[in-house]
Amino acid sequence: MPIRRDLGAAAVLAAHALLLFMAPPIFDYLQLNPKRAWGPFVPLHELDMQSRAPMAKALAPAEAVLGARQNWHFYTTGASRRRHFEIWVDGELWHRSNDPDHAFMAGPLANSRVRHHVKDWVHGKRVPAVQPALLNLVATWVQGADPAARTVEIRGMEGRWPTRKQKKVRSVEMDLTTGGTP
Amino acid sequence: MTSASATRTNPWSRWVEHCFRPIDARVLAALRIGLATVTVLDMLRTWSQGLVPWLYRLDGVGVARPLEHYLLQPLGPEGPVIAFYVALGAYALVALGAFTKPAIVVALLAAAQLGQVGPFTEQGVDHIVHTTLWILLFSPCDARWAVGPSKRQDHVPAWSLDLVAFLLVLVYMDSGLCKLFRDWDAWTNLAYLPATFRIMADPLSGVVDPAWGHQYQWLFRALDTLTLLFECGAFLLLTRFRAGWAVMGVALHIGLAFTMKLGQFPYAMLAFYPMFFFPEPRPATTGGTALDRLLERVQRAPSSDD
Repeated sequence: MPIRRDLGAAAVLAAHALLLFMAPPIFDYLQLNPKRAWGPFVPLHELDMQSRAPMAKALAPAEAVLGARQNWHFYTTGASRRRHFEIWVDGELWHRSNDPDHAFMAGPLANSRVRHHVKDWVHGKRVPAVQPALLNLVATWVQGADPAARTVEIRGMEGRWPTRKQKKVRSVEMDLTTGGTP
Repeated sequence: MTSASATRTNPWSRWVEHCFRPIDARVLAALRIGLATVTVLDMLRTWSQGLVPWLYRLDGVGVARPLEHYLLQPLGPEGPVIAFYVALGAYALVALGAFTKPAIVVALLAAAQLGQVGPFTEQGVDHIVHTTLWILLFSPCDARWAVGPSKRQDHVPAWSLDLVAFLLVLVYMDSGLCKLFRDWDAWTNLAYLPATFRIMADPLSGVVDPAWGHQYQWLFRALDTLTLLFECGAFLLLTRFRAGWAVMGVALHIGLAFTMKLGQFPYAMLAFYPMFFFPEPRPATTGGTALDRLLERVQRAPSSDD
């Protein structure tokens, strides 16, 4: 029994070490963008990249299959500009981000697994990958709500904080009668 | 030197004693139920919004694209959709405590495959929940409040909660130190607009009205400082001051739940917190903090469960 407890305690110690090894605070993030390292973090980051990072990378497939990737860079600076996503159906505004008066699809678009796709599209990231899927999703919902609708347009709007003035930075339209661009 | 005093001075023996000190089995059960329930509710929400095919079906209509470690090709385009429902059922069993250990394995392997069909189908909070459930797999997390079959115990070894607390400390400190060293100007009140304002008033993820929020910059600057303080000082969650520090964590996540659209994130994180408010038995020579003593009195109050 004491040996079993010793082995258990050794495994717990190893698990602590593994967690720390896989995601030591800050190095985990600096790996993504080494240019952000400054002062004492430059040599520390280089040392980390030479010694720990390759071993951690070797464990990445196991992390993926177990669904337990260890990197924890959450919200950092927030949005640099004030951005909205809009849905226009036959020239009428149906949805505008965080606008209770135009809340069509507000629930699905705020879903945490959808929200990032919307945000990336408005921001201009991954547009070729996201745009067709996003347009398909919106078109399906619009047709469900109004089978007579003819066109749907999604828009990305952008402006400076905190003013209300915004300009259209992205837009794509679909003809719902043909499924193509009008 | 007596054997008892030798045990006290030997670091390894102290570590073994620390790992296997008994704690109330209900704390572990609450963590299991909390995490699995929040996950089930989040998945049900995604299902009720009709988003499952768009997120997971590999038919080119939605966002799903197989990544490097996707293993369900033999199931065809519906593979991830099947994995979604399998994971949902297995998480429900974990919450109920029915066949808990096999259910944890099935839920986690199926959920991991959901993360292999797109960049945002899996999020940071999923990884926290998954890592925690992998830890709980090796612990008697179904010793209480479980349908069974499982062996009922009133006390369980504390090591699994220690490991989960360590994981949370890494998560918070990683986040906090990145804010401090990488984005120091945004979070130390030197930027034109406070970071929490730009996060909470972002129409794509927050619910705070920018015009209103702009009038109360002092409030957001205070929130910046408190967030940074809590996250960088998260190591205190491993000390006797953990209950006091955890109050800040609870406030932070309740605040996020009300001011942002982050899905299950704040609720899953809140599911971790009961463990910080459960006082542990301690030697008579240490008094504990005032909050510890208050929580101890609450714990001793008669409970209908006992």
